[in-house]
Amino acid sequence: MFKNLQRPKLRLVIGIILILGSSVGCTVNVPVKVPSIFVEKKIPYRVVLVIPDDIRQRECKHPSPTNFNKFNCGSALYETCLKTLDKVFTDIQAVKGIKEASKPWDRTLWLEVDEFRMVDYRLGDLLAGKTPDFMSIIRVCLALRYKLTDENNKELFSSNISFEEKLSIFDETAIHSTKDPLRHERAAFSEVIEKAMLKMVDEVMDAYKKEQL
Amino acid sequence: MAYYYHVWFRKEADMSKNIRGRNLKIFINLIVTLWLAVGCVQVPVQVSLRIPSVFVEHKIPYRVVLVISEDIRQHECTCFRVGASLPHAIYSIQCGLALYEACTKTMCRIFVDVQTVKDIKEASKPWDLALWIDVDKFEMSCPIFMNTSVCISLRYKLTDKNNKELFSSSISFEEDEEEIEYGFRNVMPFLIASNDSNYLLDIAEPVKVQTAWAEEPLLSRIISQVINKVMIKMVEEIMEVYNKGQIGRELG
Repeated sequence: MFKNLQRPKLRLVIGIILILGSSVGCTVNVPVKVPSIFVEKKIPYRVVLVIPDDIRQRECKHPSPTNFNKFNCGSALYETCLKTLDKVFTDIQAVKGIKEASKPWDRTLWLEVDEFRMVDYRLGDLLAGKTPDFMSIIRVCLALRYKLTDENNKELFSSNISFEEKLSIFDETAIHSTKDPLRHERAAFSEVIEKAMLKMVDEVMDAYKKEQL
Repeated sequence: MAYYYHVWFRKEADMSKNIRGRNLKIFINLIVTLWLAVGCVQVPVQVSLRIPSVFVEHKIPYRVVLVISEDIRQHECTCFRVGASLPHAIYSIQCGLALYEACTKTMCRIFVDVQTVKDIKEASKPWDLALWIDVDKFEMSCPIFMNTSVCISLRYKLTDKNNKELFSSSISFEEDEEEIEYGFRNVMPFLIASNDSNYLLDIAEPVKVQTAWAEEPLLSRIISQVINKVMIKMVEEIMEVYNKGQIGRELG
């Protein structure tokens, strides 16, 4: 059917479908996977973790031609970050804004997310006028910045982390449904978050050992 | 192909209500055996080494000989998969080598000095402790229509210079593909070839996926993650006994 349509019309049709789909799509949970780390002695600081509400409530849309799901990627990132840093610092309180901090603190960790999205290349196939194959290619990108400041808001350490996970999968959902057809996608988010957390812990521990904190 | 076989099997199963189950089983087994016998290729899979994140403030101040026998190092986990097209694949995953390397590098993070040997007689330097590792089981199971699972079971002991046992433990993990956090589906080794695609969603960086066995990263990743868990567990146990003075007291 698509082959007979002119490209602008095709794009329009797909655009409308996407908008409609994304407005009625359901939200899918991303499993929280706390990375396996071993820390002999936690860093002896009370830390306020500042993750704004828009990051926590962020949803990553899945622009697949067959389904329109929203993954609660921001919430998973928030949960994972909190649980990971709890393994590293002696005390952690997570807040949406620094004014919400209820206890005294020694350091503040500010987290900002520049990019967190999923791209499904089957849609690219459709837009290019091709028939999507069973094999789909999904990419999840995560780019975040963080900084550690002291009680006086003086920056002690900052860094950028970005990861991209490419998945090549056999699209079982195109043929028949399974118990959890979005398993890959959910796992891809968890994987990227885990990698980012491991990198962050590495950097923070390194900075602490170098007495930068 | 496996999917079509699956669909066909179900269809046949529905149709064959009037046929005796035994005959059907024989028939299906015959078909499957003939199909599988057509061709197989051995695909070696190297496990990507992932050193566990271990942050130790002060390394344990002992020189350690890590004894891992040659047969553990050369141990391969195999995984048979039917392909979309012939030939099918038998994956030979170098899980023993990955375990050996992960173990060596992890122990280097907690002890001040580590020398790895196949046999204690090979130790070239003086040592304070010997860490003996024995693997009882390290297997991968890849049933056609079910999840891949990995089973590892190992024992280790720490002995002093006089071969007196100071501490011993055993660790086992049995994990299903879904339990391993990167729970990919039990995919079949399809070939990916999408070199010429011009994806509108990613104009800046078009994806160029080289032709490759799609299965390799999955199998490698599952093994890596299980090894990672074992290593973290071992580090936790060793650090705990050291902090309790079990190792130091005995040596002193």
